[in-house]
Amino acid sequence: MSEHLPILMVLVPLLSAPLVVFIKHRKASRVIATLACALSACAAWTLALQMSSAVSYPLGGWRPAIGIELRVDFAGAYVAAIVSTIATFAISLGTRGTREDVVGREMFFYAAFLMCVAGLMGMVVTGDAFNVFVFLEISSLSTYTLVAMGKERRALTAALNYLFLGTLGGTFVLIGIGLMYQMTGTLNAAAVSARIREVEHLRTTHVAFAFLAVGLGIKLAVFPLHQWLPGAYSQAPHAVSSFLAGTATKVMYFQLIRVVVSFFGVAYVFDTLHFGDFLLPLSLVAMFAGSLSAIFQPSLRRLLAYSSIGQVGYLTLALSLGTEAGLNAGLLHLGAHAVTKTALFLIAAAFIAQVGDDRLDRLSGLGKRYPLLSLGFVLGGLSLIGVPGTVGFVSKWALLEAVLAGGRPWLAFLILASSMLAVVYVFRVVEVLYFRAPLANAPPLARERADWGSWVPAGLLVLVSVGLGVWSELPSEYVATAAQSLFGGAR
Amino acid sequence: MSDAREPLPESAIERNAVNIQRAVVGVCVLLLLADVAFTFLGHRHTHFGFEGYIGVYALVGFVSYVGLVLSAKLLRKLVMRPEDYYDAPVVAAAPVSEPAPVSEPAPATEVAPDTTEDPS
Amino acid sequence: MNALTQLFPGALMILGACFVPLFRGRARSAYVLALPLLSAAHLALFSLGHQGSATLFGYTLELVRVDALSRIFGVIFHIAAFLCCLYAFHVKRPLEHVATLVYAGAAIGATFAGDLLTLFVFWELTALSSVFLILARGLDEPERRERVFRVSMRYLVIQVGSGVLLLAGTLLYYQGTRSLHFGRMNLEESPGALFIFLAFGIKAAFPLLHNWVQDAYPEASVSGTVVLASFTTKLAIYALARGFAGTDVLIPIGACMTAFPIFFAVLENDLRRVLAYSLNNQLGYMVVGIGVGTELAINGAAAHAFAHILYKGLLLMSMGAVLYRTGTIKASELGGLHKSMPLTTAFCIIGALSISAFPGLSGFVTKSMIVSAVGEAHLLVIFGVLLFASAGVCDHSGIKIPFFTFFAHDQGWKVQEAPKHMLLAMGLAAALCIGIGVFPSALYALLPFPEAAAQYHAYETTHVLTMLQLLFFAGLAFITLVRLGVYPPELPAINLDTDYFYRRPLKRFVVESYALASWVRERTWGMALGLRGRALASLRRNHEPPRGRLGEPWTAGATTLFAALMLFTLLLLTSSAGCGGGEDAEANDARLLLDRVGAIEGVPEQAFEARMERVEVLRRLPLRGESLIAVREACAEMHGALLEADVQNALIHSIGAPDEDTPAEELARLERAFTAAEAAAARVVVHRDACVDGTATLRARYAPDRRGSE
Repeated sequence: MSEHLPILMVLVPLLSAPLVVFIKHRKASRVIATLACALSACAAWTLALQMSSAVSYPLGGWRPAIGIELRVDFAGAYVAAIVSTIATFAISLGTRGTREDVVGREMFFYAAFLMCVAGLMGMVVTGDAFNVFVFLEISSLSTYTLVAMGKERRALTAALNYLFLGTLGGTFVLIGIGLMYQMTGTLNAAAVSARIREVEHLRTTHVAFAFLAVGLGIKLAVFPLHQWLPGAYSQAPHAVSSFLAGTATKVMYFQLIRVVVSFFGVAYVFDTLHFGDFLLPLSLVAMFAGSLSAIFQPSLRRLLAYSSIGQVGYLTLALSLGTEAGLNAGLLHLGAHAVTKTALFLIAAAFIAQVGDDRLDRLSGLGKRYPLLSLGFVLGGLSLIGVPGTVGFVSKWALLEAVLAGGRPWLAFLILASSMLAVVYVFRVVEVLYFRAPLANAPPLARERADWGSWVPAGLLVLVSVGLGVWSELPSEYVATAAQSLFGGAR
Repeated sequence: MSDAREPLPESAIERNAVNIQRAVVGVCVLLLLADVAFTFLGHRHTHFGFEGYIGVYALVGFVSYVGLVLSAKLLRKLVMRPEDYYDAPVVAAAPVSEPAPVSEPAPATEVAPDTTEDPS
Repeated sequence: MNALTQLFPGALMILGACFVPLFRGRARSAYVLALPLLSAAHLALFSLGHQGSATLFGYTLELVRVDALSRIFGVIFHIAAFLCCLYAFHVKRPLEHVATLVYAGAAIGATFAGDLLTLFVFWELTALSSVFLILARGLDEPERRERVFRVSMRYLVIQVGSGVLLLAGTLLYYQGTRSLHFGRMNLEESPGALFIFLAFGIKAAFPLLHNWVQDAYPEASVSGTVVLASFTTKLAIYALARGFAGTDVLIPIGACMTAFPIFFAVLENDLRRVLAYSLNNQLGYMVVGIGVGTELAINGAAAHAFAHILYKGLLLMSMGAVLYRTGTIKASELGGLHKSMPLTTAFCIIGALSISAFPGLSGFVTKSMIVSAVGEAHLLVIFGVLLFASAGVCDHSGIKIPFFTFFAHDQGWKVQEAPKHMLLAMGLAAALCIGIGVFPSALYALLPFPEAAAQYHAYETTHVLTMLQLLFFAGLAFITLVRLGVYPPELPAINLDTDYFYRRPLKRFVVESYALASWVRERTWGMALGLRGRALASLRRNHEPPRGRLGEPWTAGATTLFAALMLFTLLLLTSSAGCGGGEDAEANDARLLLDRVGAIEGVPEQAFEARMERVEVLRRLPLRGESLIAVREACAEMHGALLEADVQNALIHSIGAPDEDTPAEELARLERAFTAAEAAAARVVVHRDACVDGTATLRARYAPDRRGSE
């Protein structure tokens, strides 16, 4: 049984998706979706916790490089566990608001959601370049559908916009993979990395890498290519934005790491192609531009979305260092930000369900009315800033260490300076929640009391982010192993 | 604002304001006398030469006080502003172009807050 | 007992603060009052020299370090926390109580932090918790909310900025010294120390970094100001005394701090702001003491901080009581209050005399230590500045505060005496001021160098006499100036200070550059879009639903453009890498070659197949340059031969030693294997030198792997 875990993680949601559509029952579809995500999460966690080295799973028993191989290393298991867990949280306990977003379309919603989960999990576990593209398209197509299901009409525009750019990114990835195949004659990650060394001085290989990097850059919302993100995150149904915020960009980031480390090799990408010099300035701009934009956003979800763009800047900055310490910091921040941002989006969803509107000033004075939700937001916000005692600090600390180990203290200052911007946008929300009188002319609350389903999942995630900040050795040690196994194999 | 209010009846301190002032002057004179007496009878514990003179601390106290107040008055000319100085809006004096010729929406750049969020 | 000493001092206040909202009414106030007492009892469990450690990120942290220097600050912080809680007895909202307790607890925790990382954590916690004391005022007075919010943001950014500097400095310091221990640091030793120094400097309100004190403190709530003034700056004084005692540059810095705020204090109309300036001035004395760095001077700085918290708290409490009763704290609107608030007046005068260092009160016995230390160090100029500043303190805190509030022109205020709990808090503080002034030995015993303190006598005739002269003649000067009508009247106005630079030109700069940017964008885009834009616009006006429905025009297009640009840039970068000849390409090739050779050596000896594969990779590795190809050939040959030899050896071992029973064909195989192994060994010898020397030269020339073993 346990050797089949890698495929189970993908198959369970993938097969449940048509099941949901066939059963055509509202409540059942929700239960099935929850169960499928939870099963997938169980599989991922089991694998992540019991594996002692990278697991290879030949599909259909065909030898790798001839058949398709699923390959899960420590980092992959870590990302898969995060993705599936967040999926479970986002879907199972979602707020009433979440459920009401999709009334009447439950089957399609849950089916698309499951496809999206399956696609993302597939991207993480597959060891085959073309499969990466296939799963990328599965997840992307279902994401467009999910975004388009948002309540407001603007969701359609956002989805369309995302569709354009996502397709562009997907095409770039496909071109990159095609060129890579042309050069190496194989799609298997291990085989590619062995053979790419013979052709790495050729122009076509460079072009392959450039297409892959830019294509994934779009999906990852690297700075000038991020325009799809705020719209998609702020218009999608709440369950979807919570899920996407924690997973979509993270999986793409993991893919970028794999392209750099597993396919092309760190030495080639950083020493020959100087990819770090290309990525670093973009990351820095993202850190500042994203956070600055977040400060000026009029709505809560857009604020969080722009903050995500800034956080992606930290991720790519960590990668651009091209060191094991950098990779370690990137993977840590991936997890830290996934947990934190999902929690914040879930809390935002709960608030919006209460006031019926996501303009920031509608939250005036709600701190007293919803003390737990507000406290959760404050704690999550502190983690976003990177205050000691939260998981955000653990990852930021790792990033600072990595930057300083690379001998670039000025980068450390820029990182810290951009954290100050996070202080401002987080406290902007805090001020609205706690220090403003409720709006005099506010329309009545949509509901009086927040239902438990709205704050329990968010609260759990907030507890996780604080808990991992206190027991910081839990994530750090696992991720250190993951980074070592990824990087050690590369160089 | 406070002119309209009736002050409370005079207190003992207010009645004796002049006496208090006189007392201060008296103490000052006594202190100088004590200083003279101490200089000839006791042993001064000093760090610097200037401390040996009679009444030097009195002089320092008086002169620095007056100097401080007078120079602060000068400083006031330089730094005093109306109470709402910082609250007054800052107006940009950048070149103001004629109204945009085209109502083409400005391309949404990355930093500019998005206008599409207005509830419509 | 043991379990309790696992917690850091102050932990009880921080933990206890979490439960404040559970209590209601009187019970809450009593609970809040009990926490500092409990925490003080907790502190008493620690003996001098206690050290507690914890592990975080693989660093061993010194969570608790109790020595004489940290103990005196811990004690006064506890006293201050108790007085503040007592003074804030009337506050109903839990927010301020929680913020006060967490803030005080964090300051105490920071005082006992033995390493820089722990210090940083508490340092940030003080910043984050204290800002709520300022924000709270916005809740009381809705019309001030906007202003209070902006003040608190300025405060928060500066405070967190100090923490960020501290963190950066800590990291750099660790890089340099491999130690996180928070002890004596040297500014020249590591750039990290400089950053840490600056971080301390911000919180200690060094000149030009000082303005947040005057900006934020007067904007806090009645009780909040008292709390704020007690901890942050004194924590910084402690940190300076711990880290930078005897650093010469602190002496002029401190002297500046004593002198320049007093000019502003003379002019300022908001009396709590006057006290904030005077706070700055008092910190100057302590900074000078730390800079002098002798035992007497450090004792003086610590003692002065101790006394200062009490009398400054007392003055701020009395001003807070006035604000609480009258609703204003502007000198121009106050006067004559001694009739309605006699007790407050008396307490305020005790505080004013203390801060002026009147013999018999606490300021006298502590400030004189610093002044004497400066005298013993023969720093004439500094000594003069301190004397001048003493006269200045006498003016703004000693005379101006009580005179304009309680005497001067009666403005007709008819108010009640301050509430009982405030009077009690003020009374306790005043009693402590007198107590320290009369029995200084009790305080001296707590000082970092108690032996040196025991030999110091504040009440020496010369000293008492000269101080009295200084103060009374300053008073005489005040009387003279008032009678001559020269004393500057109190005017409702604000006075520019260094915050001008970030509150006006910086704001203006941001606004202007934004305007400029939008102007440029309008022009350039407008032109670029040109005709097409016009046509589209008219179409859109006529045929599209109202704007906003469309979502985000241009973004998909613009992003595509960006994607193309990025691709282009990347291709440019890569093409220069791939085809650029010369040194770079050669270096790359050389590194590649070294990498491949290393890859072969990295494989375990028995993994013949893998070795074979890697030798093949090496053999086919495309390289430019004759010498590199020669090295490649040599290495490929050598490793091929080595592999061959190993394979044959393995074969020989598998057959085993021959004996009589060994069949003939086995013997023949053995024979062949031996021959092949010998031939392979010979080939290894042939190519070995070329390969080993060649790679060694390459390695030396093209620097070993830059990323090291990571």
